[in-house]
Amino acid sequence: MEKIYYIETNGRGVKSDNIAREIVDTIATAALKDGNVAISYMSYGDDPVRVGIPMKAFTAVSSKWESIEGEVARYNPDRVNVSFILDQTLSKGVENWANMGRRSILEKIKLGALVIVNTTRTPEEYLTYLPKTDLDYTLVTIDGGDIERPSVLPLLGAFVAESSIVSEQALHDTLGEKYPNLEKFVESAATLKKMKVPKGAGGMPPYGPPPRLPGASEMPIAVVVPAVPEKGRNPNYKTSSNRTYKQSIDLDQCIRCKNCWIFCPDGAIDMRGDELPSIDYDYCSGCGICVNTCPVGAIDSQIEFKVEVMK
Amino acid sequence: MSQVKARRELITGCVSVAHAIRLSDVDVIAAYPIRPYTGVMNAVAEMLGAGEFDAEYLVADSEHGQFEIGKHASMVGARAFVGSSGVGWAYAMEAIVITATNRAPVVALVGNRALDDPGAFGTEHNETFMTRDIGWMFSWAADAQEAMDLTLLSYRISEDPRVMLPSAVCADGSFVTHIKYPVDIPSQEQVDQFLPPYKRSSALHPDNPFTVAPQCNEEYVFETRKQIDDAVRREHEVVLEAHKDFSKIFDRQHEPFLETYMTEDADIIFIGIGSLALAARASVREFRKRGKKVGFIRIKRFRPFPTEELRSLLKGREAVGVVDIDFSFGSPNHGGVVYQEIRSTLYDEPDKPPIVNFIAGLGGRPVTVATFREMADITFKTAERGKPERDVYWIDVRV
Repeated sequence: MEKIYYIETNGRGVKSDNIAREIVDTIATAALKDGNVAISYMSYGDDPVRVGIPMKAFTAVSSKWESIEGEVARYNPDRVNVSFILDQTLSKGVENWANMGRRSILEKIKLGALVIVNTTRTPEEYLTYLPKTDLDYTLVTIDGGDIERPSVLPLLGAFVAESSIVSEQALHDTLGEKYPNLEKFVESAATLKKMKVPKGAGGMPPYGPPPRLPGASEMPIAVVVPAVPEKGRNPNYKTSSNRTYKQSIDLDQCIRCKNCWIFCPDGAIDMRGDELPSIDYDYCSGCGICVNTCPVGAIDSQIEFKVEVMK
Repeated sequence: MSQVKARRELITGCVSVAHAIRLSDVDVIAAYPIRPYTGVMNAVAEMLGAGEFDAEYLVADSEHGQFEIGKHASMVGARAFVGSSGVGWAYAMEAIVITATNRAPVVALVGNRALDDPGAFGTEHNETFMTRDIGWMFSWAADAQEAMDLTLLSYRISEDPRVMLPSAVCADGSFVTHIKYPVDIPSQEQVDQFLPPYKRSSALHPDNPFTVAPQCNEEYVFETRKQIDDAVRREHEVVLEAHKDFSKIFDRQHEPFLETYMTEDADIIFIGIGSLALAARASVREFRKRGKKVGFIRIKRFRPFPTEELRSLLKGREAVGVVDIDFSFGSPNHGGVVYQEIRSTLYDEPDKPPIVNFIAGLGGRPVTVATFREMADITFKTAERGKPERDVYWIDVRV
């Protein structure tokens, strides 16, 4: 059985899903040019994409169709050799539609995987935002030029410098006229910011195993989802993983008009009676609508890393 | 003969079908979104927008309207394409029925999807089977290449004057519709050679007014059913002819009715439909390495059903495992739809194998190599006992 290589890209819907797909499609096409076989796909439950919501795309590469065939008709690979993180704030984790709660951004990596992150931080700095895992892996950080919509070239340059899944020539040929200067980025990859992360390292607590899902005999007939209790929020679906920009309210300027409370599409702002508003950051998806609805300009929006350690 | 050959691209099953539509020079495309079928309508719209071909593209008010448009277009002599998934296909049911009874050779894509509720995008084959008895032809693709090829073949077979009945190309949601495979896209020259223009002897036109499908009750309805039955009985030879020509022109071999994988000397045989073939082939190779003679048959065409082919292939086997990605609640033995068809096929055979049924992959749960291992254990035991311990097993379900 020939080896199968899996590559995943983690992006955000509408913001970087096209970049995520472009990366896996480019790698898959390059693999075909190398004479290997490849397929690529976007995680089905993430499609159609929704603004800011984490999404994944994959490619599987092998030298023989026979070795890949049994793995094709699936939604996700179990484990990946390479993981791209296109938005640094994805370190908060990702949620899918399978009611599994929030899962680690590193959940799918294999032992010794290559993790390439679009960030201006060093690997040592970025590691403080990543959850602990029980695996060794290599962490590469690279400035993709934009915090939300990185250019594919620096990321693919790091990929081809650090792995041998596709040849540089094939990648170059695939990128073609659209991106003629890949080699510029591959050369700079010699000075890549990278570190070997030993198992157990990471600044955030590790994730537990996925929740156990009930059997048919344990479930109420049909699918019944209990309502969230009044004045409560759904503990199993914390939408803050969608957030790249974080809003904060200057309470000295606030005139208690309740506009932000009314317009917040996630119901993430608490404001009862004459209270001042407060944002529940577990549920704020960072859309910034409150910034636009505030009549006195009391709400500010900043890239999340600059505000405080992410939740 | 010198001609432009195919070019290879990495595309999804949906985009692959869109290329087939473009190459078939379809005149009218009626669309209404429901995933996974939506992928086709998006790809077709992009091609039309880029001026790659010319067609009437109508976005309908619903699936019912969409299929009505397709049928009417076909009745005036236009080549038409429609498609849907899951509950969308179900909502179009009335129009789907009259597309067949009015003998409109429309081609549709069914992106197989579980019938809601509860909501699910994944594959189940039930929406297709709801329409299995009304004169449509159904073929099932296992990958993106086949989705394209079956679309081209469907126009050729449907529009044959001996047939004049609609075809649906079925493709499993996600696994065929949304995964990008390397696909050979044929040249226009090749397709033109394969697919003659659509000609309808009684096309509606203002210069040639007539009524289609008036109220005619017991005086005529029975005879129209007989006409369809006669046409359906002719489909078999038309399918064979079309596939023969297809192989010549496109340099690709296509088994017309059944894909047989290592069946020649197989003691036990799995039968299934659609994308589970990929895991099935990988499993068969795994069993062969361990010296177990396992084979796999994929039903590529469900209507017309390859009755005689299956009879000769299944004769004398030690056991047969039928994998259904569908359900037929309350049916004989509480088995799946394909299981019922296989049992019925073998009823008159003197040397019929024991049959065990697996309900697997419902709601789109992947059928993997591990799933086949579990099913093989049960099928081998069935072979040893000479009959199944239980008739129907639900596999990979949390109980």
